[in-house]
Parts: sequence; C-alpha cells; structure tokens
Amino acid sequence: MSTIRATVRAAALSLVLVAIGASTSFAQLQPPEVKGLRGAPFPAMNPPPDVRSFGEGPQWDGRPPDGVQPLPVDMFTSKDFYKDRQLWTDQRYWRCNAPRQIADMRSGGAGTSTNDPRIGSNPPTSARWGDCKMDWPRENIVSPYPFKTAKEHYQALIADAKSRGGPTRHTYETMPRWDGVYGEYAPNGRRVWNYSRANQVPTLLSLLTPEYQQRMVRQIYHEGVNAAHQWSASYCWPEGFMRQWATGPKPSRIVVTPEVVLFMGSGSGNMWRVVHLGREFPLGQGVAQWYGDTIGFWDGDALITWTANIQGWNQHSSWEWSDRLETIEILTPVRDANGKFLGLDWEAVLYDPEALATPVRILWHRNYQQSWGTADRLGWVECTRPLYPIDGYATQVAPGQVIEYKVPDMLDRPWAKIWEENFEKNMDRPKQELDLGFK
Amino acid sequence: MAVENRGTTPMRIVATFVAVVLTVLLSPRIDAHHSYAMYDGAVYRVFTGVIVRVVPNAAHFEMHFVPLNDARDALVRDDKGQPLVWVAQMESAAQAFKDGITRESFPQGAVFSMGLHPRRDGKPAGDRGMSGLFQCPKGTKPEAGKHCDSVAGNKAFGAGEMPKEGPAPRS
Repeated sequence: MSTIRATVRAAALSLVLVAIGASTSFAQLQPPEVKGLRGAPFPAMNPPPDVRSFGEGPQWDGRPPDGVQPLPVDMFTSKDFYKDRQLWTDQRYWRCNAPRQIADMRSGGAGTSTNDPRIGSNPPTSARWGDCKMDWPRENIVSPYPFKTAKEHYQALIADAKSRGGPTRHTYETMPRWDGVYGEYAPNGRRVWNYSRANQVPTLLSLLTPEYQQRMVRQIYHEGVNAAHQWSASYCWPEGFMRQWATGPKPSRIVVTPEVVLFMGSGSGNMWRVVHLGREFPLGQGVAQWYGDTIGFWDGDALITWTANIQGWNQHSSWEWSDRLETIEILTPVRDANGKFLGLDWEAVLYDPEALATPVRILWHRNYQQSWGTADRLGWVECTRPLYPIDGYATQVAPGQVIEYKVPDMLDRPWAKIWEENFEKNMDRPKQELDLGFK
Repeated sequence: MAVENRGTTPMRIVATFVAVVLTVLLSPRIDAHHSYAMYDGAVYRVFTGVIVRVVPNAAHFEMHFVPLNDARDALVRDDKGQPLVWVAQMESAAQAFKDGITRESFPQGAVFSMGLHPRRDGKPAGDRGMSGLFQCPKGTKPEAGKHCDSVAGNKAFGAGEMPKEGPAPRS
C-alpha cells in the first residue's frame, strides 16, 4: 500500500515538474511580436533537432537507408566536386548528412575521438548516411521580414518606436537590469540552425549566392573527404562574427549602462561587442572590425541593435560571410509567471547581399545564470599554441621541431589557399586569377 | 589627408619641407610594435606598383603591392611567373587614416608610387620611412621610368616627396 502511495506521489511530483518545465519552455523563444518588424513566430519549434546518423556501427558503412537510391557519384566517391555542381542540390550527394556530421566523420566531435568513426572502414567511400527525413525547414531560416537591408530594417524599427513615444532613454535608475552571466538555452540538446547540425546541406546551400555555395561545398568536401579541417582556432586565427552562433566565443556576460551595453565572452577566443546607444554610424575609421560596429536603442525593455562594418571570414563546417554582412538584433527579456527574469530572447536577422541569397534569421535564448557578484572571473584568452598546416593538415608540432611554414595571406581566405595547394591539383577549379589590370 | 597635385610650386616645396621637419621633430612613431632594425634605413628603393590589398591592422598597417616594370606596362613576376608581391610597412594605422590611406582610397588595381627602406635580407618588404606616397589618377600610369608624382592630377597621401633610388638623405 505504501509502495502504491509512494508511486502516486512520485508520479504527481513528476507531472508538476513537467508542467513547470513546459511553462518555462513556452516562455522562452517566444518574443513579443511587432508585426512585420520583430518577433515573428516560427512555423515550428526553435531550436531545431540535429540530423541523426541513420545507423550506428560498422554494418552501416556506406549503406543507404532502405528505399533510398544512392547517386552514381556523391561527395565521398567524387574526385572533383567542382564538376558535380548539378548534384550539390541533391541531399543524396551528401549521403543525407548535415555539414557538421560530415566534419565529424572521423571524430566524436570537436575535442573528442571515437573508436567507431562514421567515415567507416574504407574512407572516404564507406562514409555512413544521415537521416534523409530530417531537415530544419528553410522557411524557419529565411527572414520573415520584408526588408532588403539592415538599414531599412533598423529605420523601420526606430520609426515604430517613435510612433509609440520612443526610443526609450533609460537612466541608471530605469535601465533594464540585465547585468550578469548567461548560458545557452538548448532544450533537449537542441541548438540553433547555424551550428550546421540540423539541416541537409542543400537547404543551407539554397540560402547562399552561387560563389558562396561553392565556398561552402569546398569546405564540406575537404573536411569530409580529406579530413583537412582548417578551423580558425586550430591556427590561432580569429574566430569571426558568426561563430557566436556556433561553437565559438559567445556573449556570456552582459553589462548595461545608460550609454552602452556590453556583450562579452571567451572560449576559443574572445568576443567583445559594444552597443552604442543613441549613436549613428560611423563609430570610427572605416576599418572592418571582427565583431563589427554596433549602434542601438531601447524600445521599452527591448534592446534593438544594428551591426555593420564586420570583417568577412569563415565558420568551419558552414558558410562564409562577406564584409557586407550586417545584422539587426532584438533582445527581449523573458520572465516566468512570477516575474522572475529567465534570460533574453535574442533575435538576429542577417543581411549579406554578397553571401546570402536572402536575409536569414536566428532566434536563440540566453539563459540568465547568475550575477557578476557570484560568478567566476571572465577570463581573457590569448591563443599561443597553434597547430600548423603541414601538407594541408592542421598538425601538432612539438617544441623544438623545425617545419617549413608558408605565411598565409590572412585577408585572402587562407583556408582556401591551403586546400587549393594541397588537395585540388587535379581538380577543374574555376579560375580566379588576380587581375590587377596589367599583364 | 589626400592632396591633389596640379603642379610643383616653390610654396609647396617650402610647405612640404616644413611639414617634414615638423613631422620628424614632433611626431614620435606612435603605435610602433616592432623594431625597425630589419630595414636598411640608409637606402631607398623606389617603386611604382599596383595595389593588391591594404591591410589596416592597428599594429602593423601594410600595403601589399606588385611593382610595375620600368616600362610601366607589366607586373614584375617571380621566377615561377607569379606576380611578386611586396609588403610596405606603413606608419601607424591612425596616421595612415589621417593621411587618407584606406581600403576605399586604395582599391585593388590602384597604381601608386613610393619609396621603401628595404629589408636587409633582400626579401620583398620594406618600411615607408619618410617617403612621399603618390597615387596616379584612375586609369593612368606614369611614363617609362617615371612615377605617379609626374602624372597630372596625382594625389599625395601624407607628407614627403618621392625619394631618389639609392642612399637615403641623412636626416
């Protein structure tokens, strides 16, 4: 009898906990909507699930899912991906793997080895398949707003704030108390799409212009087929702006003042962004900044920002962005039913007319964890012990060892140069000669 | 600040001289982040070349360029036939911007002339020193053996004249 009572009590407690969890989940990632400007709901839940491996274990080496007819040539059998352009849009060319699954074919993920690599026993042709039925919908990624540029979007947001008596000018007494330490909200391990784990490759390629499609394909191919990962942190290169929405340094700390809002974080590098409230561009000399220049304003307790002047760069296993990338970001506080501050819904709309075929959106949530007063120090990372590219592979080199090292041209996509010189000698790569106007 | 040159006048020579002296006497090399011992300050090599890229790093502002041949009709190439890229170590980024040197004012393909104190080991790099920097108007180039300061409508970026190839004048 007592056992039954205990079981009923445990079940009731579980239901209560589930209900609490559900209400918390509901509160997050549902920013207030201002029609056509911000907070547009998704057709489905965000963040998305990762694409699964279709099967685990050696018996799945190179074996497609039942009912899926493999292509005669795919990335794991091709000798020249440039010639396969018409196949890039077929998910079977990638064996239905998400980009990050392909990057991790030989490991258990970044920083983890595995005794059962998905590349199989006869690399690369034995690479395993992903689940062809999983793909985060494209309509959840493209911007739901009508704007072609970040400037248009920002001006519309200001006009909207003005129509309601804004923008809000906060003082030390009235400003939102967001100062503190934040983590990433990833319910059930789900992460935002920019981790490149939730999409079939063709879906992500469809977001890009032809030149940037080729760049992404090139990266996925060399990571998956040649295991020639040119990850920025490997070489102590900068991580770059978009890595905030992947495994790079994230805005884990916030400081709010009436004049600026600071986002800071460290990890595989440091990130530091300053929102200059009430200012206009330019904020300084026209030198591209790794995290851009940001201006912004308060609309009540929502922080609305515009970032421009971003250094074009690369995020491994994913898409490159150009110097023309600009973002609109809207941060809105989330509270539970009792008014307790849970964190920030953080909507980012990305405009890059050079790299992106259409503006795209990322919606994530930063969970408030604790105050600065109780947290560990925020460390500053200096990368001093890189790997070196040897024969095109990021390689550990022991102190004292002498190697031949070719100095990269850091602002001319050094990762691409490494692939070109080491892995593409027999490929029919479209010519991109340096044209200086003289023979 | 960039200055468009319509001709050389005595006033301009005097003004330039005064500017150079003031620059030398009053301006420490702010934001220098390495020794300049690698450069041979006793020598100038003088180039007319084509911009590959301006690298506006705060610590080491650089201009990457490919020199033109003496006839000014072709790029200088290495023994593999590839364009030979030289790296010019400039003043601080702040000073460079003050002089009007930006990615916008020096796009790829821009033709310009300047002198460099070359690296002592003969590698293709050098430091601007006190050399003038002149850009040819878009679509133009100097006559054979001449530099952009000889082209009508050229622009000067910062102070200084084009030095002569060879020993640098003692300051």
